[in-house]
Amino acid sequence: MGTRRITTTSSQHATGWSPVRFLKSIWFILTLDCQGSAELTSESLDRPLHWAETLAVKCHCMICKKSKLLNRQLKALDNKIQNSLNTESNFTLSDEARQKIKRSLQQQRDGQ
Amino acid sequence: MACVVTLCDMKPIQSPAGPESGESENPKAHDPDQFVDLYGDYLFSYAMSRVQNASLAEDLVQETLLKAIVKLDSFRGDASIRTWMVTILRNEMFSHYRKKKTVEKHMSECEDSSTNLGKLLHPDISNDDFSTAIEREEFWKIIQDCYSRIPEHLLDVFLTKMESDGQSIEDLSNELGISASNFSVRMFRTRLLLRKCIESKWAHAE
Repeated sequence: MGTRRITTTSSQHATGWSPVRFLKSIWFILTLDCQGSAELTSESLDRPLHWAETLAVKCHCMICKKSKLLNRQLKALDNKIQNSLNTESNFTLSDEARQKIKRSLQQQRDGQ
Repeated sequence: MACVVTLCDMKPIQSPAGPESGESENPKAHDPDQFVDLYGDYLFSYAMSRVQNASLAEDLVQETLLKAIVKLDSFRGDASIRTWMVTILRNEMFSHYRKKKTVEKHMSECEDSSTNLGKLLHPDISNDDFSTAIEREEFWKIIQDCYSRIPEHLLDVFLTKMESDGQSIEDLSNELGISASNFSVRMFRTRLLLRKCIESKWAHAE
């Protein structure tokens, strides 16, 4: 499985406009399939997409309801997990748990 | 798993107790009993934000501290003691997922469908149902089950990315020792497998 990308390095973003590159972008937009759309949606959660990639996904989702559904669900799931992991949590061990762990550490030391 | 050390250095979770950085800590100078007071709450917070289950998080902290004491002599001081303990805790979490995987023999849909990309690409539930599924209280229990069904090499990359707080793919893939393209593929597969797993659990719950 190869990831579909219109650009492979950031330096390619920097190069100027050319008719060939523009036609390649149009071809990319017109030929994106369901797997490519899902791959790019996944990548959009990790990096900014090239304009042609964004447009390709949008165009594909206009004609494919399943891909539109999948893309929204992938984004929702990612947000849910990421928010949970990056939310500052201030859980503390209960006294009971603290004592239990201390006892087990003590037992291990006694056994050594 | 070498990546974990670096990542945890980059994004420490706010610790309710215990040394803030731990860089100057010499664990060998402490009585092991003090480990619980120094690092227990931090490790518990870290575990809770991932497993969302107090009982399981306590067990993981206990196992982590037990292992830390056993391996204390092998601690070289390359990273902070807290980072070192988080590495052990993460290994314990993966170990927990692996154990669950061997216990749960009936993991059907996710495993089977992982070989059939077409199935993974086509959702069977609406966005409303999916939103309801991920907002349910049981979601965190379900996601733990789903984690245990994801191959470790995929899950490691996924959780590392989720914890990275906006680091670039290039940086993360360098730390993990894989190419950026491989990183994206692993993230893609994990997301598809998790989504499918949640969908199938939702379908069974209905």
